[in-house]
Amino acid sequence: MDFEKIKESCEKIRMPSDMKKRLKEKCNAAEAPERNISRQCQFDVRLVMACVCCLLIVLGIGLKYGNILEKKPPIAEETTTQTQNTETTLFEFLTDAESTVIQIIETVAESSRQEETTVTQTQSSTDEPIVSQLETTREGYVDSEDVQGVPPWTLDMCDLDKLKRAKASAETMSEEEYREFLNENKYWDVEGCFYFPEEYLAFTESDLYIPVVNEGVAEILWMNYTPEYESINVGISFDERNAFRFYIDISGKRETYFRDYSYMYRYKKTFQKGNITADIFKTKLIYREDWAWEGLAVDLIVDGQEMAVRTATEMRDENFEKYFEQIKFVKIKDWI
Amino acid sequence: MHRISEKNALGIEKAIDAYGDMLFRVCLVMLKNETDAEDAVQDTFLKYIQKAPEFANSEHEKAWLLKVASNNCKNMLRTRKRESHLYVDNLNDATYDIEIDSVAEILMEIPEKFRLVLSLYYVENYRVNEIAQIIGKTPSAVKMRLQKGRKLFDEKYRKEFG
Repeated sequence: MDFEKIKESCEKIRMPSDMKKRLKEKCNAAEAPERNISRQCQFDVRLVMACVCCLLIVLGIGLKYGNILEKKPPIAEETTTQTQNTETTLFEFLTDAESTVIQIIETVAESSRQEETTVTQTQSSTDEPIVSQLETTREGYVDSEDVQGVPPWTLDMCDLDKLKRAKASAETMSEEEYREFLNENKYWDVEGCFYFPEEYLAFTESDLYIPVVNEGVAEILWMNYTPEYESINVGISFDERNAFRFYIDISGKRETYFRDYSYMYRYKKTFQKGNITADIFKTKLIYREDWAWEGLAVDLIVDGQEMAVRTATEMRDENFEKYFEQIKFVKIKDWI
Repeated sequence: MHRISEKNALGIEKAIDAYGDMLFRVCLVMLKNETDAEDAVQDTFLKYIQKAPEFANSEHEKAWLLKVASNNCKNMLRTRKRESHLYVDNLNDATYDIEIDSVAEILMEIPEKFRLVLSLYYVENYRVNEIAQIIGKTPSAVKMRLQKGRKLFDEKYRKEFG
């Protein structure tokens, strides 16, 4: 399968021009109100300040005239009294007005200080690293994590009865239910063998999942051919209960995700039965310079024709060499 | 570094021209509906305006937009429960003239978390570590999704085309 077809297909998808135009209009409208509001705020502040200044001028004039009135000699006592009362009233009014003006001035000053503080806080928050601004969401499903630090999986850690029961019930499920069941229970389907808890598996570029055990004997469990996929399925077990499987592509084409990889092997062992030869070796796989791991790989030769190297797995168990020497053919279905 | 808030109105239009198609493509693949994809893209750019983040370079900017867009799509998928097959069929009857061929349709039939990484990997040419940053998963998890996604895609493709 050439997955570059996905690229060719999806690159044709473009945002329609009227959709793009509408989007720009909406975005410009979203940006504009902020600019208008800030201008308006500035305008309002200036207006208030102008009014305050006018009021102060009026107040100043009023106070000056108030003082002149105080200095004039009384014409008549009654008139004087009335004048004094008026003056007093006027003075009280002006005093109240002055207090109000003072309050307005203080309020405006406080608002300006708060605005400055807000701006400062906004600026300091955007100085934070971009990472903290990125939104992150975690889905409920927990994926396999890096296997580093995970202890070697042993049979004691696996409830085989539970797995067997799960397998039995899974056989009655539809494809969708089955996938959901695997996801919920973090199991992997090892065809013809057992399910394994996901957190104990090393994940690779192929369909190879290997629980590493501390002891046991490795053996080829089965080998069969699937003509619809042009591949050979091979199952290898490290003891009678743990297994892994992989596909060998016999179409002659390598998967595109292998095109940039290279590998070197530490040592290998060759097995032969009839016209089938299998080289199983411990290797180090370097993939696209991004990551590299050591693992198990298989080259299969059928009728003298070398098949594509298909699989490898991350090796975590330092006792692998011990099992490796014990690999042997046991059950191979006669698929030819 | 530049701040979106210091740009004039032409800045957001430039961003839409530069990244609009890519974001729409990713959102359409995730949501399988052009109206929802439009909403998701719009929300992404509105957040771009509101948050006014600072970017070291255009690649950083692009990755930020993709992350926000994918999160928007996930939120929409969670809140709007729809059957996928309805909208895949509707795509070719859409109001917009969006070209969706059979390969893209097959991609949209596989589960969302796999088609997102396939899209980011094969269409947008991101590497595993970069995809991990965008979707908030470990590189191991991304590799797993790529592998399973390829398998599912391959199965459907072979079924369709033999």
